[in-house]
Amino acid sequence: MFNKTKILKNISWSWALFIGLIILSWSIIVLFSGENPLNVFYYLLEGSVGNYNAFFSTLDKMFVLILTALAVSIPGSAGMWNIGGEGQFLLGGFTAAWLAIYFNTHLASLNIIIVLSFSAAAGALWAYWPALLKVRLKVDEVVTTLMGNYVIVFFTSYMVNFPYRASDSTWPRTEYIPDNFIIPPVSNLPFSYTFFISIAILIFIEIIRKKSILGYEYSMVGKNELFAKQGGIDVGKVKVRSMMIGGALAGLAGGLMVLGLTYKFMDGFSPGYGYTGLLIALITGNLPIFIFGIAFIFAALQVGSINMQLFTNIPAEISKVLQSVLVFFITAQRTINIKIKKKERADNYE
Amino acid sequence: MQPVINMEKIHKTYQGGIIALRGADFSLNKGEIHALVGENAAGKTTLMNILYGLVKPDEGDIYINGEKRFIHHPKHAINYGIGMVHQHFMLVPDFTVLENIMIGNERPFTGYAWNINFEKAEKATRVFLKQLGMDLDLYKKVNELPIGLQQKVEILKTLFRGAKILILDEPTTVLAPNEIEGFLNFLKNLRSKGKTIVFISHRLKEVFSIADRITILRKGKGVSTLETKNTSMEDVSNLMIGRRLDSLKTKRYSISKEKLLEVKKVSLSNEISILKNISFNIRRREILGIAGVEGNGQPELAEIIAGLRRNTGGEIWFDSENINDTSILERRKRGISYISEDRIEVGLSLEASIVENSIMSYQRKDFIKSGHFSLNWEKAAGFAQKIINEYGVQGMSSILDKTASLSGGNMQKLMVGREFISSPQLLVVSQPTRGLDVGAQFLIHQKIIELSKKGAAILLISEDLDELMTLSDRILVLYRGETVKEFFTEEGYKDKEIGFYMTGVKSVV
Amino acid sequence: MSDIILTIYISTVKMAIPILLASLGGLITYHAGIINVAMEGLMLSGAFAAVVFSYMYSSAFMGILGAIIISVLFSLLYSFFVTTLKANNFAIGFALNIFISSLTLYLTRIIFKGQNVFNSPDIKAIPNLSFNLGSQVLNNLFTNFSILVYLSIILIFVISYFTFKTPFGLWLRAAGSRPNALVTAGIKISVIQYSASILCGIFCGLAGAQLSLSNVVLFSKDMSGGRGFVALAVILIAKGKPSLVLAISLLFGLFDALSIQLQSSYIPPQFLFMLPYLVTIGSLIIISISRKRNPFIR
Repeated sequence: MFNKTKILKNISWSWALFIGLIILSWSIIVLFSGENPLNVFYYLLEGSVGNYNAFFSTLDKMFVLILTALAVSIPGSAGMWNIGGEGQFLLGGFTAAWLAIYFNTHLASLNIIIVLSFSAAAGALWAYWPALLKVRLKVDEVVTTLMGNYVIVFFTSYMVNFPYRASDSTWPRTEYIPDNFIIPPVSNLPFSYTFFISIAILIFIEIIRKKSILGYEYSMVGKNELFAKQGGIDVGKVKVRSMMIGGALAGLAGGLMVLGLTYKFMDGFSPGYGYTGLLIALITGNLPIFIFGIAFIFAALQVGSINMQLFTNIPAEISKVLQSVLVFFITAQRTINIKIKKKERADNYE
Repeated sequence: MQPVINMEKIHKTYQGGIIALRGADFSLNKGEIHALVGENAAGKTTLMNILYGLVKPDEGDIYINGEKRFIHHPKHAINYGIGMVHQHFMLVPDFTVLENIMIGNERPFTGYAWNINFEKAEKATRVFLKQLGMDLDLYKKVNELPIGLQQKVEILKTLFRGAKILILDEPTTVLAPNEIEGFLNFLKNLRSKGKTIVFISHRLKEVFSIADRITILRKGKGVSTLETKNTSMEDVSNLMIGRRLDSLKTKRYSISKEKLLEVKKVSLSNEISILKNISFNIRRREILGIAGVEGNGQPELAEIIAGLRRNTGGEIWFDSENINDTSILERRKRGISYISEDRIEVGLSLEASIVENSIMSYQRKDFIKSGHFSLNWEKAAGFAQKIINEYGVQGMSSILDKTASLSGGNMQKLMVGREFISSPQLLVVSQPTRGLDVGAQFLIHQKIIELSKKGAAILLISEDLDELMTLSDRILVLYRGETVKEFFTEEGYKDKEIGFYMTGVKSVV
Repeated sequence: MSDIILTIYISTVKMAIPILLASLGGLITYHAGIINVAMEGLMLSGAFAAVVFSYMYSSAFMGILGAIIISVLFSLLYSFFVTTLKANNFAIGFALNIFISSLTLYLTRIIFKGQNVFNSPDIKAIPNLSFNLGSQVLNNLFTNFSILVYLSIILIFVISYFTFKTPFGLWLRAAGSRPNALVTAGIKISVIQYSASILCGIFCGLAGAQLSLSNVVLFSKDMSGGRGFVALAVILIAKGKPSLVLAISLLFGLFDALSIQLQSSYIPPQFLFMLPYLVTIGSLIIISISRKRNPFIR
């Protein structure tokens, strides 16, 4: 049998190398601004996990990332690329704000559920047409979902600049949502129940993926469409539905963001959360389990850079740079790991 | 006389632990036709891939004209005058014959503006063709040529590059019976022009008609090298498999009168006619064979009956019901099972695990699921194990391994086993024993007959005429999308005759 | 009236060129079978580098050179992951896009103390080529465009020739269609893929330079605005034919230009900005419908 210890040793070395390289690249990027990397990392850590406040702020940001990542990885596992997370997110957010402000029916928490359902539905609808076009007409969904993002960005921008702009706003935004729609924070911590909602969804998705018949069928469609088709699976339906689920999750994220964080919809509502979700999904390779961990790291980078911006010259935008560097390294790491395992097996079989 | 090629003590183990070669030896004399025979997975292709530089040996040496050489890439092999033609051609389908020949050989024909001078290239190629006594339309796109000609183009490519030693991997599998003779003569012609040929095959009739010497490989080791004139087909066959095989128990039961499958004037056209007015029936306990050279509409016909493709005209009736509009799922529910000739792209999912592959189309059945929504993976594992045991699938360390880790033959067994095990009513099967050694082929044939006895109607599409003739009650020949002739087992099958219809030499007037 | 039409015409050409250049580059990767989704990022990196180099050396030529160098460097990075490490090309492509987008913004804010736009009178724009063709009409139609515009037109022919008449073009198309054919000929597929990627980088770099040193003279956040993906759409629509690439690029250029020209107090600007993207989606749909009806049209 092949030497398991040797494989582990080689993989551990590659992990060490990999973490080292990541820190190195991050340091180089930081050096461009003239700051001391050690300083910068200190403030990053301080701002993200340095104290209770920071830690819970980090957790609070995770729900968006988890949901937008799922929005990519669920269709991804069925072979569809949902790059439209950004647009679905925005649409869901705006829908939530619009409904909450203009359709208030004073029914407390039931209303939150209804509003969130509409957010999800909006996202699902916006994901439906690119999926349909791909399945029926073979139109590439990467381009359509991406173009769709730009359309929604402009559309919601219009909405919030003209018809629905709050009269007292200095920056284009809607009115604030009524109190009965707010998702409350947990006791007096700076994080709200939105975190738990996203975790619950994540766990639910994972169970479905592993244990349900549907999970099997989606997985098979993603791995080999023709194989699934000849086995009797309706591939077109699976693909469209997977996209709609993805869109629904992104839309839901938008709704949760409005009801649980911003309490309004405004121009610039999304600093690219849809794309960050894409990055996370790419890193985790459509496997939900790791989404939690990676989302935490990404949230930490995001929250930490705000602190870092206060104490150094570095703009908070650096968080995105650091995040995308991770994708390269983790992808390389994965490929190298596979190669190490293969080589070991071949060398040692007697 | 020194052999021009000598391979000594070649060892090769593939990733996943499959031992392809254990200390195999091979020697080749100049100007001979040397046959390399053995069962599937005996190591023939691997050995030649090593000689051609496509695969690196773990151990062993190669000597060319007595000197030790290292061949790490086809480039090196080509430099030593070695050329190889594989079973799956390496021609670019959209390119013309001339363009395909040019790949890699452009230098003498490239002008100052770095353009390819096609006229010059054409002239040189025609001269070359003449020397071989051949003729080809150089400007035709390769995908428009019949398979036999495509193969000739492949051989031409290697000769054009200056190959003096030609390795051919199962070249006759794509040819119809009556084309084979012409091809073998072509090889003899090449030999007379001084070329050396390695002829990998498991078809002993052909081997004995042209080979000077035969090397038998078994389980990765050379068993023997014999002069053809000093041995017989039975001897070689025994050396190949190491034991005698029982002959297949041929059918001796009656076919029912009940028509299960009725194909009525089915056609498929899309600018070109792929199938024209196909009509036939299959009754329960009947095996209908479809003979035809690759590319005459067989896979399309199978796909239409299975539901993967929509016919543009005509109707399919199953159990006295029109199933033209029924989904694949519905057809499977009624008991129609389908085995595609493409196990890699259609019949299996290489990326998925073995157990996942085993339960495809069974995932909603009670013996796999629990409750309405969940899959019981224990039951699934049990089911997978059943298939593995009954069909002798080997080579995995666990059923959670990716299917890609299995050898081609084992993949085939897995796929066939999965479909057979449900005892379908109608079995549409295409190339069921492709890539299988004689033992496995025997097993599958037995299973087919068992299924037939149980009452199934079987549509058997195969390029292996022997297989068709052994199993079928009737054989329909498909040529250019039409059924051109029907043969009956009672009258005795004659392969040459069938071959003529397969290639259009004879046609129904 | 004719003034407006002339303005629209000039705008159309200017807006079409970056898409045209990127599409030509992408076409090469299309033939090689490794469609590049990172064209957006490469173009953006080119735009950024062009402004920085032009500013530093007070020369538009250096700007163009810088754009090419930086874009090619990123292409090499892309190729390293996709061809050598065999990672998924979509994943790496998107990661690269986001990386370049955030990196360029980050660097802009550092260099320009917190602003999102890199603007300075010291950035030297690409000069326009003006010559006299005799008549006013001809002068209006064909002269006074940036050098890159003329270069692009020439490049269309160069690429056509290159792809269909040279050995490398043969290998390129074989790599995309049946890579095995190259292995036995002793040609390394990885070399072909790297070359295709580098060429794509050069073209995307030029596209970026046109964006930031000619159409406007500054760098702003994400100024490539999805054009890299429009180029992707162009390639999918044109299916390898350079003439179609030109035609469709001009179409998008037209709507891009119109979105600026049609701005008035009656139509909210956002709807005009949406136009080019809607047109992209629409074209893809139309082309796919027609392809479905006539599957054998080449």
